[in-house]
Amino acid sequence: MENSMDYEVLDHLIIVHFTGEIDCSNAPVYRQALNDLFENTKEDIIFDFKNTSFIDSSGIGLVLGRYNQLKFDHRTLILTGLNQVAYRLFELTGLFQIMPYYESIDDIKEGII
Amino acid sequence: MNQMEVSFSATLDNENFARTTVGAFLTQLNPTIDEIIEFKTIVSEGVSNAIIHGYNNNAECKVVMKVEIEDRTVHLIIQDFGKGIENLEQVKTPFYTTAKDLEHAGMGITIIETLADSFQIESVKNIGTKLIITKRLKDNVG
Ligand SMILES: Nc1ncnc2c1ncn2[C@@H]1O[C@H](COP(=O)(O)OP(=O)(O)OP(=O)(O)O)[C@@H](O)[C@H]1O
Ligand SMILES: [Mg+2]
Repeated sequence: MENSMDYEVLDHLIIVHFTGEIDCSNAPVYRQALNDLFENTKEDIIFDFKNTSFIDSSGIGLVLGRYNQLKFDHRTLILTGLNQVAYRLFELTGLFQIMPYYESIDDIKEGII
Repeated sequence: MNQMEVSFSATLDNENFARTTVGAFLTQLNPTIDEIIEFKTIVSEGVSNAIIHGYNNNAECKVVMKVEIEDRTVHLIIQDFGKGIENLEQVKTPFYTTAKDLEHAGMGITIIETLADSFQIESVKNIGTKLIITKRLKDNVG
């Protein structure tokens, strides 16, 4: 599976879909692309990991960095779709204490739109 | 007992290779998908640390990885001959990182400790670092 990142706009949210794997070799590339996206938009953001087969600590660093960047602009970051192992590691890091997690995009739509 | 050993250049382009190789070797134990992801995560954390912190991304250096299977117990060794770690207790502290500017969370070693059944670091300044990891797979049902 090719590693890639794309996004779509849904109502007042931008959903970023990560496909494939996130590790040290591509996290800096995503960081740059997301910086550009955030600078040119105002919406709240969803990170969708449903099609992400692997995430290590560089994914955690990427999420934390983007969270801080968005928070500065009073924007919200929501996470969804993590595999079980990644969920456990995100939980260990305390990420769900600072940003909401939903099982699926549908749950997000029901919950907040 | 069954063993394998690989040595590869210290470039992040080999991260995926390192994970996949260990995953492929462990297939013979018929692990669950989560167990494979856990091993891949451990490999990814250990190998990225060796490349980034041990070798400062110098691709002329080599990372050595050994895997040994004994029944359903897996012993994994990840070794570099780089910078070494001075304070072993400090690097085990969650969120401790010397690369904050590169958005490192400082969670790699904490993650290895969480996913492994036992975990040891041996390190000598300017000689290198060796991670010794043991993880048991659940018994095969069916
Ligand atoms: N093989 C190594 N050689 C030299 N120093 C190391 C090595 N492994 C880890 N370290 C040191 O230990 C610190 C903590 O490592 P750890 O993997 O927990 O966090 P990180 O790599 O900084 O961030 P993250 O893994 O979350 O991206 C590193 O910042 C580095 O200073
Ligand atoms: Mg690390």
